[in-house]
Amino acid sequence: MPDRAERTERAARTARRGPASARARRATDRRALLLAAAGLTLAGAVLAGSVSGGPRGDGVHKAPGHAVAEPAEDGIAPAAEPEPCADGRDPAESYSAERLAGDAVERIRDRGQLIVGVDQNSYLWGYRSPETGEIVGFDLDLVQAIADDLVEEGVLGEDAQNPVKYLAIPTDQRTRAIRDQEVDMVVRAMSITCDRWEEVAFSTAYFETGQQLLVPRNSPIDGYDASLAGKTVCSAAGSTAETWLEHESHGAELVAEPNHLDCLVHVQLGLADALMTDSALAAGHIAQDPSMRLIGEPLTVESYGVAMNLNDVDLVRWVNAVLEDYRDGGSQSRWAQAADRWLQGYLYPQGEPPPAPPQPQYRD
Amino acid sequence: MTHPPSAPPVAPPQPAVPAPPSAEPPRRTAFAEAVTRLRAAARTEPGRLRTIGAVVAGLLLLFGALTFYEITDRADAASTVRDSSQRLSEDASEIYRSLADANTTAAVGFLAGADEDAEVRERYERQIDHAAGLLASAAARSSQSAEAAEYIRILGLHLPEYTGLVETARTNNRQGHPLGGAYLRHADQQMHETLLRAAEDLYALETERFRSDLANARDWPWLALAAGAVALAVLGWAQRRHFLRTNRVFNRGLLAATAAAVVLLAWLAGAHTLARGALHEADRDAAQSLGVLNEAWVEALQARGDESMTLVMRGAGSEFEDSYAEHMGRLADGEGGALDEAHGLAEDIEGRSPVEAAAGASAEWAERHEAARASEQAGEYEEAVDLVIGSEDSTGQSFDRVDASLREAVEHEQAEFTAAADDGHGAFGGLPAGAVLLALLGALGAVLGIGRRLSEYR
Repeated sequence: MPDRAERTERAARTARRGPASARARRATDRRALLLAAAGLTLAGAVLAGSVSGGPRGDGVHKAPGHAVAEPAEDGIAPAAEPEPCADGRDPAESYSAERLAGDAVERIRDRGQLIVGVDQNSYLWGYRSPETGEIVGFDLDLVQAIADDLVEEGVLGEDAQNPVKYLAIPTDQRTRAIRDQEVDMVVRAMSITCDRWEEVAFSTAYFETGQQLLVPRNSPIDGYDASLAGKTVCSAAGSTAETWLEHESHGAELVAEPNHLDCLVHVQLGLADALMTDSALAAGHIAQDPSMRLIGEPLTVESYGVAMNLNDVDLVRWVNAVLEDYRDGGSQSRWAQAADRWLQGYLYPQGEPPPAPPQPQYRD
Repeated sequence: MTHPPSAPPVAPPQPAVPAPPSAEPPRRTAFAEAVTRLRAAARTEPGRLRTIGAVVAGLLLLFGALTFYEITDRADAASTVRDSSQRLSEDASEIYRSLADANTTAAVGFLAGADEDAEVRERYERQIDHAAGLLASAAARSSQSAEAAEYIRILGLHLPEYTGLVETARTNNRQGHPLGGAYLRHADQQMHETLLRAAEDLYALETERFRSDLANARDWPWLALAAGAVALAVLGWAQRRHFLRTNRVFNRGLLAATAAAVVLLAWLAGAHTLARGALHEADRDAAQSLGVLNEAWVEALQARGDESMTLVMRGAGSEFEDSYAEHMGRLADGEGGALDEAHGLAEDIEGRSPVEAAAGASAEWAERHEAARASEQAGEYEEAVDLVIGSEDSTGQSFDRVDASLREAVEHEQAEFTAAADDGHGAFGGLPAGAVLLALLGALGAVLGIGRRLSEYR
């Protein structure tokens, strides 16, 4: 679920790819036409560069943040590994864990309430339970853990009626809400990327996922390969998946919808043959339609993190400390309990222990 | 006294001769002969009198025939307007409204989820049934233009698709799957991009046809009026000539003919002026009011749908809130809003008061909407839903009042229209028959009057 920053970054990336693909096709006899196209794309690249560069001025040269390793020219997916940022750092690196109240934590203490931006439409991650009307999901369990910790440590009063206020934030409003301090943090299946690090601060990774194809059970499609030829593949507009598909469609026709859930509607209605999204959100799709299955290997490695204001370093450290405890305890950790509660049977087989949580990485 | 069975003594025709100019001379001869005969007749007074008599009688009969023809045409147009084309236009607008209503009701019902009111469910079913029924009868009408038939085909084709999407949305929603919301949005998109678009085009087409029928009915019967004027002028001239030649003031026959022509001309002008006035009233006061009220009603329905969809989407984007603001603006944005315009067009207190009630209710609605919106943005989702579909002080209740007031206003204007169109059609009543009768009487009078003068020469 990319935000504006990612879209800008994508524009830059697409633009950069332009001349290369033009070069590849230059062998054909429609040389003049292609040259013109290449020229246009180059112009586009310059334009996109100046736009995405904006205040930073270096947008074009940024390494792709969303761990989209540039696929090799022959279209074979590369070994999925997180892409380092321009400064050589892994985007998943965060500030070291420490419970030390600073301005941000004091702000929450004064307010007596933690304000969290969440999703209400991602099944298993953040959605309204039909029984209780409450927002629940894997992300929400983590919010609960953070809130519990703040109560335990005395930041929030134990008798507080609602220690947490949940705000439903649209995908494209996530960074803005954090920067405008409408929310203290966003816990909303948000991938950690280099570009987003320019605007918001992330906790250490709390979940690892990657882009994958999701198809109906009897689909002849068997992976991100030639079996896609002639098929229709759906992805969310402006998403990492869309970028991948646009770069190498393997002969598939592409459909972009506003939301990944709309893609599931399209597949169910027979308007698309497959959809691409990250495996974590795909788990939600499988839970809503058990006839869907994930195929092939993940194309990327992406990590979800809790996003906070760049200035709220003390809060980031605090959340990292909570995450340390949350992950600790092997198969008995709260992390594993949440995984069993929400993801078992969808991302890993029923009755088996969950995979290990991502290891925290620190920059200091 | 039989003629000899020989060939006529005239020059035999020369069919074998292909010379083209040979066709001309005999015709010129016949024509010239007729002219010569006429000239000869015009040289004698009886001949002139016969000609005058024929011309006057002919003009009167022409006047009558033209009046009959043109007024029958206008009356037909007026009854088409009253009985069919206005009905078709209203049916099309009702198809549009039922579809928009069903879409809105689906969103409201979706918000309530498993707690959906039976009444809401029934309203949805009723609107879909109503739209389907209107479509079926529209499709059965054989007088459809190809264009209208195509719109009706599109509507009939996609309506079941739409209801299927709504049912899937409902099922998923009851299972607590956010997928239900995505389905409902897909259904909403289908409704707007396919169904409502076709219904709108159908409405525009039928309304255009209705307006053109109305304009036809209001067209002045120029030919009949002109024929009447000419007949009267010739009658006047004939009588003046009669007076100058005989020193007698009155010729009873010509006088009767004049009276018949004057009565018919006055009747024609009067009836048409009356009909025109009534049809003008039907058009300007009722039909235009109906158009604006229909527009207001649809804006209200769509604003209500968008308001509900905003909550259905649960914070995934602001498209529906933006759309709500747009529709609400067009409905009640002070001056220039549809309600304001409808108020200006309303003729009487019965027309104005429901529009005023609708304006009041929509102001209340907008206010309550702000409160619901504030709750939603503060993370109080359940409270926001309650403020929108709850049974106390909710925007839904304000909307219901807007809905009911607009229904009342539309019914009033529809009655006004029918009454005015009835008046318009009634004004032509008896005129075609009267035209024939009066023209015959007039012609008879003219012939008798001239005959009397002719007898003086025997």
